[in-house]
Amino acid sequence: MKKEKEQSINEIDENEEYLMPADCEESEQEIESISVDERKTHYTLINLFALTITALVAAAVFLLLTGEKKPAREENPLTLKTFLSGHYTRKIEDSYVKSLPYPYEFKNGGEKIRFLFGIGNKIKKYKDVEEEIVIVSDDEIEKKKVSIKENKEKALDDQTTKTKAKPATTTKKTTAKKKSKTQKKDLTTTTRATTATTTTTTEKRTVLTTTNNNAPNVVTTTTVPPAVTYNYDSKPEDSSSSKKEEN
Amino acid sequence: MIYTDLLFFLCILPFSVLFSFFDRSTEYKNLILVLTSLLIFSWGKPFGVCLLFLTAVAEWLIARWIEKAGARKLPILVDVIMNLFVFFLFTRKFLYAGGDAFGYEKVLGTLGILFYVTRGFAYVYDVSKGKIKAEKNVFCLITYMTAFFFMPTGPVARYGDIEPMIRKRTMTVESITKGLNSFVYGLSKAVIIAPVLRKIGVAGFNFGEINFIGCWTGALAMISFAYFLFTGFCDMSFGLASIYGFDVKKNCRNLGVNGVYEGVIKSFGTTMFEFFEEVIADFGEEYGFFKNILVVILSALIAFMLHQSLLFLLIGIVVGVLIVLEKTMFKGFIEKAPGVLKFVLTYGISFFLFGGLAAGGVRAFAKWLGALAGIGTKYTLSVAVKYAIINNCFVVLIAALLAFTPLKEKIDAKVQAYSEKSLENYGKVSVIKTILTTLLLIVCIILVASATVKI
Repeated sequence: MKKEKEQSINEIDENEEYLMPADCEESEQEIESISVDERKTHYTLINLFALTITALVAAAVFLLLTGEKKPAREENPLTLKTFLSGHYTRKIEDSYVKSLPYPYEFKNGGEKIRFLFGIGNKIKKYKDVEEEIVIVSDDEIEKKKVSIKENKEKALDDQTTKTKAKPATTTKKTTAKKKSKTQKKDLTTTTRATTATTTTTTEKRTVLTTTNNNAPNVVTTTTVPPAVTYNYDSKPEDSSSSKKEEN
Repeated sequence: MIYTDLLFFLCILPFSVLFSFFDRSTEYKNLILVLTSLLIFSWGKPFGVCLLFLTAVAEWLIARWIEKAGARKLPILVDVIMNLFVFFLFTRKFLYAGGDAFGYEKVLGTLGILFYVTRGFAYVYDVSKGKIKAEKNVFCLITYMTAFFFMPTGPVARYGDIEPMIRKRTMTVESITKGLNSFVYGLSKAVIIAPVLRKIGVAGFNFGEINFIGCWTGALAMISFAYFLFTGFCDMSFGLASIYGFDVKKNCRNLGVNGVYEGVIKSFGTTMFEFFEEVIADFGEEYGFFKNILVVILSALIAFMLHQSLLFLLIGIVVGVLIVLEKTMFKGFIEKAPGVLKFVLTYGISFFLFGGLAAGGVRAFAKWLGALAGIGTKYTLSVAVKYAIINNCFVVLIAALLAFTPLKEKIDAKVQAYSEKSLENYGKVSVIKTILTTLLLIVCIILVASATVKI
């Protein structure tokens, strides 16, 4: 008897038609409001993803990539003294700032954005001087070395004759001016190099450049490590134009 | 370390938020928040953190003392003395290490400690008034006192409002999205608009080549700079609190025309001034007319604590007298006066007050006042001021529209009405907002990076 009863409950008579209950208005409204909320949440999620991904990508770029001029690893021991004095955290911050990637690109990006702030802005272009280095063959390097030496000697001769003729104060002035110009290496208003050489003298790379091969009077720059450049084959017009730009 | 540091918003903040999701419990979230706050404040000045810890514990002890002994006046006096001492000790010294890319740490360090001591005092005051019970769990109070997003520009969130969130809170998609958006808007104010206004202000206040137009534009630029810097950091604080699951009031509001105090000064620290109003009202119930004297003393004290100079003290006294007059004698006049007159009076007086603060000294202030009338000026307009304005005219225009006109509210209302019409419209508005906010974030990152990076 029990089995029969169970069967009768479980069996569905195929001939019998089941009428589905009609949808009530409230339930439809509820479903609609849920779908509206879901869509709104969907847009909120898009917003969240866009901002989070932008921030995380930037964070990853700044943390994982480092600039070309990666600073030498300095020792930063965590001791009670260094921590309490604040040196420990200061050094961490310094190394983070120094190792930021694409420094010139960010500087130029900032300049381009500031260009849109108003009328009459000029875009300063920051450029790495070392970007212009062209590596040439060893023979050419040797030739250039010889020509540099000759030029140097010639320029030094000229300088000594000039310094003899002029009072000492004027020579001091010119050297000071030269120094200040070489310090402005972050701007592109430096000389345009047509060819340059790279010679490895020590562990650090030393780049030699001269602005003019046939230098009239005093145009020689003193080689100051780590990165002083000597340009070759540049015409006298080039140097004069660059001087104008600097002015 | 402040919010505009790359190391903060692209390194410490993402890691801290990420770590907060590792456990559901609120206690764990509080621990992460406290550790993050300590890391931020200990950056460069760890000694200050120890003192911060001590004052948080001291506030806890004083509140317990009030509840146990039933005494009120002595513990409050002790608390006031302690907070004044902490304020003078910390002003410009300990809270931030200094050396940020935009040079905001000096300004925000002083303000931050003002909001910190006010928050501590507000807790003890509320306990003494019987509005809240003294907290038994010291860790809960430390979370409240050291939470880094309450620090640089407030808000003075009351412990009664925050306590339920310290006990139980969740970080939802909505709260994080709202917080991130608010943070980006605040960041853009602090990184794009504020530096431009400061540049114009500095050019205008250059007493080496003092000029007529420069003095006028310089003061206007300095008022706007203060407004955008403060509201920018308020937006960021609100956003960060929201990211960590706290729902707090903003500590700023739009500039108005209902007098110098209600229209302008109260916009810079709404929650703090509301708390002081409450204290003064309670004081007035007991001591009647003397509450007006207390207003002047309090105003002078705050101004003097912000910058220990005679000029700041004098301006504080003037502001105190103005507040009393606006609340008593001129209350009816301000309510009934036509809008234009109110605008002229409110911003005319504010102009001189802020100009005085920007001048920085009594002699400089006198020189500046003379220059406003063309006395002692070398030129009508200096080259530096001219180029500072022309080269940044679009940003200045946007800043003026945002700060001094109801344009933003009108645009917001229209956009809201449009998005409520249909789901499709809502989607369009949402997507456009997302694109613009993301672009704004990218621009901010580039500007901060370009200011931070060293070549």
